Amino acid sequence: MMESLRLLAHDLALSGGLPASFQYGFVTNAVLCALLVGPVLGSIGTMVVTKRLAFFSQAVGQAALTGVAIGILIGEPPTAPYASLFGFCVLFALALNFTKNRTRMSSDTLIGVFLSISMAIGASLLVWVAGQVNVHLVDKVLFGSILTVNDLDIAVLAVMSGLVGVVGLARYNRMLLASFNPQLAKVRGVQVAFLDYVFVVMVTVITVASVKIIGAMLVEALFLIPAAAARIWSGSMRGFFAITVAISTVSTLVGILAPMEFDLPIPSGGAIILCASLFFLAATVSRLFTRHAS
Amino acid sequence: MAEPLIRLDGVSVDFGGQPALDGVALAVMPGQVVTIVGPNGAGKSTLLRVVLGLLRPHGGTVWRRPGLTVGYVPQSFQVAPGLPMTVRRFLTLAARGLDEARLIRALDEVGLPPSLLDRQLGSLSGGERRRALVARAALRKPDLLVMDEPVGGVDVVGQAELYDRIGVIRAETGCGVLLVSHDLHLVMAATDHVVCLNRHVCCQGPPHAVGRDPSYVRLFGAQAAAALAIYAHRHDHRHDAAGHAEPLDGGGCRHDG
Repeated sequence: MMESLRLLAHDLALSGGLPASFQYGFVTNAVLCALLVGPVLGSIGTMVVTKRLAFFSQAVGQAALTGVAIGILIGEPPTAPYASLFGFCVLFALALNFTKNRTRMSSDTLIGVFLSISMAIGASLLVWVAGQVNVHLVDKVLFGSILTVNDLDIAVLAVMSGLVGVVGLARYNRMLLASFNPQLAKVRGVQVAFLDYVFVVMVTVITVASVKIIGAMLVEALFLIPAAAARIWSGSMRGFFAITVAISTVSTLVGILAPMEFDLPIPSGGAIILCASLFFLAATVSRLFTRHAS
Repeated sequence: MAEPLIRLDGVSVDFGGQPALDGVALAVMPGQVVTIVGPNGAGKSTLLRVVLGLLRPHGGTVWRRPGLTVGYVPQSFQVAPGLPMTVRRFLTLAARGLDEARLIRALDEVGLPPSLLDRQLGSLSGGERRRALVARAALRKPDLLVMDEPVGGVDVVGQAELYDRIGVIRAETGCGVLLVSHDLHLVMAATDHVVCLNRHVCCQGPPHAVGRDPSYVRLFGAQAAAALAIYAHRHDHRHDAAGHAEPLDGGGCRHDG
């Protein structure tokens, strides 16, 4: 299926229906990834921001680094260590959520501790195993590399996006209520603790599936920045959701395509987040001026 | 005799060996307003959590009428600053299939104008937010309305009005109401049954008798008792420093705990 899509894009590019760069298969791959990553990370981002889980998603994103290192260590292919990635990150997120529910520690302290431990393990292992494989692997894991995305990566991303979309949208309102007042939601019949786990796993699997494109260091920024910018511009929950998805999708597309078009030697992850940051900057500045005017 | 909406018998809760509730019995009948009063740390909120099913008691039984719908007005309600959420959207989170007319009626029942629907939840004043919370709870058509300090942050005139409105909701829907409050004075006037709680049920009864009980002076302070002065009862025990009940061999109730 992927092959026929690429052929179609190739033909369209030759006949002038698409920009010339679509002659290359990896450009079609990249655009497909962007159209998956942008909307999914954006829409989850609205909930990450509402639930104030920005720091949590950062911890999960950087746990991916450790996941990759473990994968290489146990002999998975360095470019697709998905078993270790999913295994470690889901375990990490579940353990973090479990501990958060059972201690009186404030969650930022706890997340900080978990993040540091996982980073220490990840950094140590990665430097150790980097000797066995290509050293450039490290910056690909950290900052994303759209050029190396293959059909397996796209399939993983598509399956996870579908899963997260179906599971998440059906529970959006219940999660929203629980984020305001957990007790109120419980009385309403919402299984708050269970939903928390569902959400944590959702964030984790989509983070892992996006690491190839955006990189472990920056994937959480795409949860955060589009939603943060959209919050400034929107007056309703529906607008918030729509604007977030729009910013996130545009940023991902531009961030992936611009370096290819202009032959810039920058990683896709960095470009995507920089583009999203421009939206955030614009939103902040426009708010400053409207405040001033009123 | 109708069956109660909820009935608690001998409910006890411990927090790390410290008794928070000790052998509490409580029942709410349809259409009845029951008010729990008691000093800080008396276990009022803990009792409410047991009633709501949020906390499993360590002893005793909790019985709910099968299929009971509960509307809950929490004591605190935080909205993330800047979160784009209109009052309309917030109210529709209460139940499925609520139309505009129903939302406007719900706001009207708590004394809020229809224009509030388009306001941001975060921009409401404390009093407006309390009312919106009551409206949200009422939208669920509850059999039992549970409210933790429902008039906190509402000005004095508004408090009396809000209690009136709660009375109207009760009369219209026939729901039972369970209140927790410090606002003894106003609550007493709007309630059928008072439960005086200090880790156990000190006393309970209808707030009809006029008179000053010495126990209120001790339990709630002279001013509160003077303002209240409509509910008389006798205590047959005192509390020691840890809050445990001890029988009294005469005289009034002394709440030193």
